[in-house]
Amino acid sequence: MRLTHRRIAILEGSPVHIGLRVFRAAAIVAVVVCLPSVFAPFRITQVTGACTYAIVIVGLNLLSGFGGQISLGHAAFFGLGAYTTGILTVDHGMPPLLTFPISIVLAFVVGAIVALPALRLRGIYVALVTLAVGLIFPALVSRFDSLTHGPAGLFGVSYDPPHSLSYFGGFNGATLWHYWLVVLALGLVCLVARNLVRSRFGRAVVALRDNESAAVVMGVRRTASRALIFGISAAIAALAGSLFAVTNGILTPDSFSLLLTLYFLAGMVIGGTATLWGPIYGGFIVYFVPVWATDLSGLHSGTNLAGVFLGVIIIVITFALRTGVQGLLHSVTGLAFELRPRTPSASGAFRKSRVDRAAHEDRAAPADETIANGRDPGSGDLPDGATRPVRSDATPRL
Amino acid sequence: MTLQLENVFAGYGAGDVVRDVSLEVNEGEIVVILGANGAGKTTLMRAISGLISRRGRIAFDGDDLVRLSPDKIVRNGVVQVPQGRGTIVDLTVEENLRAGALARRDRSAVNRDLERWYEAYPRLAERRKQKAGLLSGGEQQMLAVSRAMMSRPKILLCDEPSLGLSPKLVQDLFDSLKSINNEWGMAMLIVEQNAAIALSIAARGYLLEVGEIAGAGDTAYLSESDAVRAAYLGY
Repeated sequence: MRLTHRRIAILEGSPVHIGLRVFRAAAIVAVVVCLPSVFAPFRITQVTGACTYAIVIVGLNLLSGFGGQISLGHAAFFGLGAYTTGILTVDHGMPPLLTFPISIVLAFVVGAIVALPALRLRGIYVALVTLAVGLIFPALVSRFDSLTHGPAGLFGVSYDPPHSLSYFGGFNGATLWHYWLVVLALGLVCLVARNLVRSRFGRAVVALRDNESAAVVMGVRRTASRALIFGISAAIAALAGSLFAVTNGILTPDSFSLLLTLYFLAGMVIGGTATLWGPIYGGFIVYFVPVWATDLSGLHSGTNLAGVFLGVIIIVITFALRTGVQGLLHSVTGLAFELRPRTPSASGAFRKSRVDRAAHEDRAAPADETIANGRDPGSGDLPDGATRPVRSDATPRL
Repeated sequence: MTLQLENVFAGYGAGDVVRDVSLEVNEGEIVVILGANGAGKTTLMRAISGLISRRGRIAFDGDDLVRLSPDKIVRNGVVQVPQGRGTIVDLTVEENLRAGALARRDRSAVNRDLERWYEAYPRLAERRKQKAGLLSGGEQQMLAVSRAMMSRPKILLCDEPSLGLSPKLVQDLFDSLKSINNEWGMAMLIVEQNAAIALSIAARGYLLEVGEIAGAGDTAYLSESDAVRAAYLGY
């Protein structure tokens, strides 16, 4: 999009930029803190549910968005986490918090194992392996009812709030406690995802998605990377599952059907594939669209209508908004603001910096060297002369 | 630090594309492999990098690369600039360059190398925060070469670097490869169809025809040889 009007330019790393970021963080914290006192308890429960979805989608997005491997089995990993926490707390009396790491580790291992046969395959066949996992899980839960309580359901999973805190002592104490548990977990998972994507491993995962053989000749360990990202993604889904178990209280095999996986995938696409904020938008949309659809049409045709709405949203996203809600918000803020990266590309100052200067070094320093944000990325880091890899006179301008 | 191929066979399952190839690249030397479409040039490169199954012996730095996985081969210093440039389109230019240094642990030296390549190719510095997929073909080739160099290789394998570039850019690119060879003493094995330009910077060359070595010699000899002249130089 070429814009003709003047936008407000913000330099990356400038006080204004940092100020805006601090403001955004403060606004998010304010919303999270104030939300429970503004909304009715049933709405808080819904927000908790949406955040649970968002956690799964953050994990799914690491695998499918950044890693390019479609998983049709994430409801199974979600369910694995839920049943791990459910069985260990209800039947074995374990404290809920202790079951979270167990379900995370268990799902990581199962996820990595599922990934291994999938690694020998490509494209649609990888999705089919995960589809098998997604289909088998509810059947296994029904079959092994001595362990899982089967189709009748596993009841009474709970995680009581710490009563020493008066904040959770009131009539809605459990609702608030669940809300804070899930919101904090979502925050944590987002932070992990952000750091992961920006890490060396994150670049390896994206490289494998974009150009596998180029990634391999750069030294990316293909099998290990793919298994690891699958394991991490499954582990995050299981954490969400554990939280779902303690906030929902009841687990049945039907809760973890293939349809749920499709909701997660829809949320990822709608929110913005391979973006950091997208999964949060996506989680809320796929959670609340069915809720509103039910409000709109009464209980009987509610789920069908939700499917219609989500279908339409997905079609619109696919054709008009490839980067989803996150992309839309990005373009909207882009209409008013322009974030100038640290290295100025428009000013042309850098073009004249090192190589030309190397050629003119022994003459007077060029006077026109002004770099807009005051930092010349090329200066001062290298001793002049011998260590330069390519001499300026030999350097082509491609 | 010689790269030495002895009786290498390689292919994609049904029969070998590359048959009984023996060649060597000495320290600091540029060697070119000339061959037509389908001669097995890319297959040979993929075999050295370990991307496909291969037999025979590929000796480098005391190791037999035939026994090593692709990532170990990169860590041993044998690094490929893949055909079609291998740009990771959704990573930024800077992330692409950093991805080239995935196997390295010396963070501060990686940052210094980054600045070196920005200095060598200012166009990349201007676009460091842009998605690499938005670069022009020539810029992507600069990125591919500097990304490979970011791994601090001991030998560079270039798979048809001239592909899809204008004659001017091809000339610039080969000047650049030559200067990297000069400055770093970097050994290179270059696979090319553009014989004239490749022979202009190489010391020696091999002729690959239908998967087998059909001739070898120094560049002067190859330039004069009738087979090369007729097939690749067009006079």
